[in-house]
Amino acid sequence: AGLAQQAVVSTQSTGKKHSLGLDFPNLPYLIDGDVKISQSVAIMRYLGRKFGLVPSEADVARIEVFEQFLMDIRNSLSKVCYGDKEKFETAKADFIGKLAKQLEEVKGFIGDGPYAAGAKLTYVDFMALEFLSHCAAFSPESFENTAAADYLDRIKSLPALKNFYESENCTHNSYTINAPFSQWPGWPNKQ
Amino acid sequence: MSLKLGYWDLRAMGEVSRYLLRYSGVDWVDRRIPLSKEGYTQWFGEKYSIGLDLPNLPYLEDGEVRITQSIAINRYLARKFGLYPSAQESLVKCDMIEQEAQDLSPAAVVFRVLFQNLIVKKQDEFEQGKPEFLEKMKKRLEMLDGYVGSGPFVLGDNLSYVDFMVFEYVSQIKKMDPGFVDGASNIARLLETIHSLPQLQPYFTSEEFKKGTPINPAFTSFSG
Repeated sequence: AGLAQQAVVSTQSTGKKHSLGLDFPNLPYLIDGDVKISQSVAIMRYLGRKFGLVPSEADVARIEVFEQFLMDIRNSLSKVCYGDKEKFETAKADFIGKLAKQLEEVKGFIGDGPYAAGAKLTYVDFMALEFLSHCAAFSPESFENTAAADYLDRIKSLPALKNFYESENCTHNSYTINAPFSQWPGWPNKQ
Repeated sequence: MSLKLGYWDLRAMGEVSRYLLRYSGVDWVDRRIPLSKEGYTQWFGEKYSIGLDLPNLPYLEDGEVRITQSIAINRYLARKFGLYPSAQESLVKCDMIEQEAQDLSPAAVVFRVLFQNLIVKKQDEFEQGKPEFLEKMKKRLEMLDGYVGSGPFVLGDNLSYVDFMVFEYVSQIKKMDPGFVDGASNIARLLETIHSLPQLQPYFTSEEFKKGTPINPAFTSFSG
């Protein structure tokens, strides 16, 4: 929720924003035929259901806990990166200090995996991939020799994702992680 | 007693779950951890040893089930108590409104990029930032008001857990700004409807309710 509000304010004209037929105009948005939605969590869960990337009924609660845990991490990183310039270094150190414990918790949660829901790939694996990759770019040392890094590697090696990362036009080579005006945009490494 | 919610002695992120449990009429334990040295010692002493995968507050125990994360808990209780939509088409609307309602939470403001921890700022900074915060919240409330329409509930005919989220978080902002729902007549009506639910009357007439629970910790600039 609220992941890209700043971008909306600065890049979208009001006209465009309100003409898309969204009940709650915001970014990101998804249009799929008659379905028009905003709110990143709602979009991820919608796409999860659409593509069969959902846990079994017995596993739903546990997977939703992980979903929200990952949102907490992403929101915490946002707070550091979009905060006051003077507070950035302290905020960064605090965040990295907490990260080690959180990655231990990820390790415990995933266990042998290979994925969050065991053998079944689900939408939360993609949330983990993206949000934890942000953290890995922010603090590479935190991820060295960790089970969390192995987990991310497993997801990255899925054929469709591997193709994406290796493609000439891979957007991760041109997009920043956060807005360019933030304290830490996370510019892609020049290859 | 196998159904227990553990949280600080605050409303903040735990009160919605408490409302779902009150509504259900089942027996449950409302474990409140005091915001005191004793409370912190108690919680941080047991946090990693009570069977939680991803330890945090609030937590819910329901027999063998042990979960954290307020939204995951709310969805779990909603499914348990028939407050979760069943029709496929309603699921995405529910998710979207859940997130919109969550964005109204002043407690969620701690994560809000635009308002960097507004409630933990010093009093004068808070007072400075408050008008802009309320203005932005009013815009969101307007959109929600339009969406709810004649309702009677957020998702239409059927009461769901997101009604309780809207109820609680709008009530929290009303403590900051009593006129917050003026001009949002559908939301004002919804608040009345939830407040009048027969299942909630035992709570609203209780000593506990009269005593009141702070929204946020005393060290914040808005403890409500």
